[in-house]
Amino acid sequence: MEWLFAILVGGLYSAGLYLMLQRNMFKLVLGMCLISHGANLLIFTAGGLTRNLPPIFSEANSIPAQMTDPLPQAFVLTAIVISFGVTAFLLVLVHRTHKILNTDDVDDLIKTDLQ
Amino acid sequence: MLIPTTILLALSSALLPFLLHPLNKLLRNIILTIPPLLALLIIISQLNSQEVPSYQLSWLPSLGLDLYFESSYFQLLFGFFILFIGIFIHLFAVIYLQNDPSQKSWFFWFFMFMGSMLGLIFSANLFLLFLFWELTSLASFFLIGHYYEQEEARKSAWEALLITGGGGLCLLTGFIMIFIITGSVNLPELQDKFNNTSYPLLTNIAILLIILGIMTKSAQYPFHFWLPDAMTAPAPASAYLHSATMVKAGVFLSFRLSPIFSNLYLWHVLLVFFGGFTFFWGALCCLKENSIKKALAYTTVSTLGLLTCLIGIGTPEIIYSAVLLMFAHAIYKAGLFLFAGTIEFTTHHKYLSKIEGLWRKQPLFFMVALLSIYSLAGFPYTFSFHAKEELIRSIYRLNPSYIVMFSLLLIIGNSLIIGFSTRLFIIPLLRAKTKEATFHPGISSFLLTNIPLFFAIAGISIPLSKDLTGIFHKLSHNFIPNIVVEHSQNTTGHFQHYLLLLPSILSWSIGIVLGFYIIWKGNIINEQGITPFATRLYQHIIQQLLLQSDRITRFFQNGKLRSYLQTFAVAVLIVSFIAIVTEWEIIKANILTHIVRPEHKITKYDFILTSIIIAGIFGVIFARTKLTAVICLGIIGYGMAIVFLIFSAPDLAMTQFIIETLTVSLFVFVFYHLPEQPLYRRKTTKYQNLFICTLFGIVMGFLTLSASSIQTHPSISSYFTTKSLNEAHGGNIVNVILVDFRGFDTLGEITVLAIAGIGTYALLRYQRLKNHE
Repeated sequence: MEWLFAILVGGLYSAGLYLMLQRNMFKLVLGMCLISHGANLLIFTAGGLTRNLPPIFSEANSIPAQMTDPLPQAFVLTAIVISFGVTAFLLVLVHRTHKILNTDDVDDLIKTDLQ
Repeated sequence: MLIPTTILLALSSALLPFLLHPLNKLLRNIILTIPPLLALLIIISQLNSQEVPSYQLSWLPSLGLDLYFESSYFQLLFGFFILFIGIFIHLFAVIYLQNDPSQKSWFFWFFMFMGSMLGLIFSANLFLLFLFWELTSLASFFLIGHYYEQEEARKSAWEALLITGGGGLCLLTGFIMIFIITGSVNLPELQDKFNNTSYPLLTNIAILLIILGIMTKSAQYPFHFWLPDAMTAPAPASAYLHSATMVKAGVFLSFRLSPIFSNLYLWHVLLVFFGGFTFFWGALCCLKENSIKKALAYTTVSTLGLLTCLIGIGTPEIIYSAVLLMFAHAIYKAGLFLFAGTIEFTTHHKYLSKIEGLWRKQPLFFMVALLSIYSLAGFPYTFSFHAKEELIRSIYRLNPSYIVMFSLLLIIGNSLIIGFSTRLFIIPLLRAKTKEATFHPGISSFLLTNIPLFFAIAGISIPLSKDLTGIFHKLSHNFIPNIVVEHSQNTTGHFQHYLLLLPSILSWSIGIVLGFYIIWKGNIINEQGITPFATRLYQHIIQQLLLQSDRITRFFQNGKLRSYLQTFAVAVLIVSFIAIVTEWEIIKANILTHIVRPEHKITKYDFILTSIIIAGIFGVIFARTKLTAVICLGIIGYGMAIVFLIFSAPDLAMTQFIIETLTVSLFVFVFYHLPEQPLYRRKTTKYQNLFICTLFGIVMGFLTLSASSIQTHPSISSYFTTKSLNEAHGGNIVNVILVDFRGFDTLGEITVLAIAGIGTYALLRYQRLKNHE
């Protein structure tokens, strides 16, 4: 199962990096999103994949040893939320840049540095 | 305990100018001489005691760093010279710098130098010695750059610091190697441990590095050029640091190390070769130089070369004569430099041709020059004559082939220096061509004259006084254990007097003829002075260094986000490929377990889900409009949520669903207002990017496989699963971890989110306010 997800992680990372290497700012944000998906999936896969054993105590399952590892899930949960915050900020930043400079080319930002 | 006290006393003088700020300037400067005087008295009292006192205090024992000082007779004598010459030069400087607004900082560095030089002399631990060594370089940097408003001074100061500091680093490396070889850096212990070592290569590299340090500090060819350039310093600093003491540090170190390295071939060869060449080259350069101080600096370079060469030869008699020569040089050269300083002070000229007619205007002052030059040329009955006589006697004890070689070297070098001395002597006698050179005889120039006069007289009177010669005789018995010099006035009977005097007489006659010839052909001298090849090379190197580093910086820091990312990705790829290649066996084994024996059966739904996500990825990449791209992004996000749901993570799935919905709506919200622009690509870098990204993805896939199969440390998850229900009273372990076990982490996370939210809000609101206006 892991190898399938390994391909998926690789695909997400390479697509994310490819988009970030474009000149378009919008694609930059998309690339960021893909890479954060990739990172989440990487941590999740590395923590071990198990089906139908959620780390929740219930009448059906009350033995800790038979549950999936809760720690990677906690990490990934944090990561999802943080990446949303970063994406939101980035989006608004791109939006502002677009409004002020009237461009969505990342290379055009060099000029504002020099002014 | 007394030896560290002398160092501390000298260093304390450095702080006095600031502490005594309210006092009258002259009074303050006089008080500054008190601590060095006390230190001098301590050293004189030690000179008469019989035992060799040492002082040891563990400082950083794990690094072999001890505060370890020892004081043999030779070291004490050197310390005596440092303090003695230093006090007189300080008095000179008080007058010389009387109108200098930043004289306090000058005195600070002057006494810092004095203290660190004493530390260098007395330290018996190589690392401690290095510490003081670099301190002297630092003090020299500030003293050379004292007139920092002049570009030339700044450049020279940098030059001196880079050369001597770089040499210092070589020295440190050499010391560390010695520490590796012998396990000790304390000089007294090193002697025994060094003989029975079995690292010939490392030893030779260490010696090479140490000699590099010595050569840079003592201005040996090809590193000699910093010393003439350092003459932009005020004259007292030049006299003290760059002739009498600091440049002797390298020579001093080779004195200290010569018994340790005495049976190593490389040590002798390098020192003799470079020293001998420097002796000749410095003497040649001083003939062509027109600036008085620079020419004197070349004679210093030349003498330092001779000393290095003699230490390289390394028989005890020759080392003893080198010590004598070093002390003699310190005295007369200090006098000569102060003489040059007085000329600069009174006439504001620094060129030799400008002192024509000095004889008529200032006969007394001319006497100073006469006496110092008498010592410089090594005429009979001066201290330097005595030292050279000793030297020739000890050379005559070498093999016949060496006798010819070194006598010839000595004659050539000395005649060149005597040629310069003749010039320096004759020029003031000439009638001045121009009337502009005016001397102002006043109280200050009277004092300024007397101090060089004192040094000049000292250079002549030392061999005449019985007590003073007694000190040097004692030195010959004491300073190196295996030295045996049967030395008194009547041992000269062993050789004929005329044979001893032959090299001297030869060099005097050749030198005087040479000097007259140069004065007669006045146009040999370049008015502006000479720029030696080494200086040009140094300047070229520095210039290229700046140019290339600028180019490299511009290449990497080009302001383009894409190229930064590319650099980053390529760096990650290189590191990962090295790791993959070196750990290939382990990685292969792990990957095989995942592919051949999958732990979970893959259902067709998994394939469908993965295919949907991959389709989403392609959709994002190839989308023609922004809306399509955002929809595809949403597909990926929801696909991820289903993955979490299938693999026992309901909390993640819920979060991902909510967040993905929010993200997609935010994208749409933000880009709804913006005009639709084509998502263009650049064809040129497309394949390059594609290549990097594919490799990057493959590496990340490998990482996923390796990370999910290798467990290097025991998992800590069992702690959370067992304690969750009993102690935290929560059934959903993931939630319990977030809000209870790792509650502060979650607080931090919320803070990050809040800051991002505030930033987002502020940006949006700013825009709204703008629109409102």
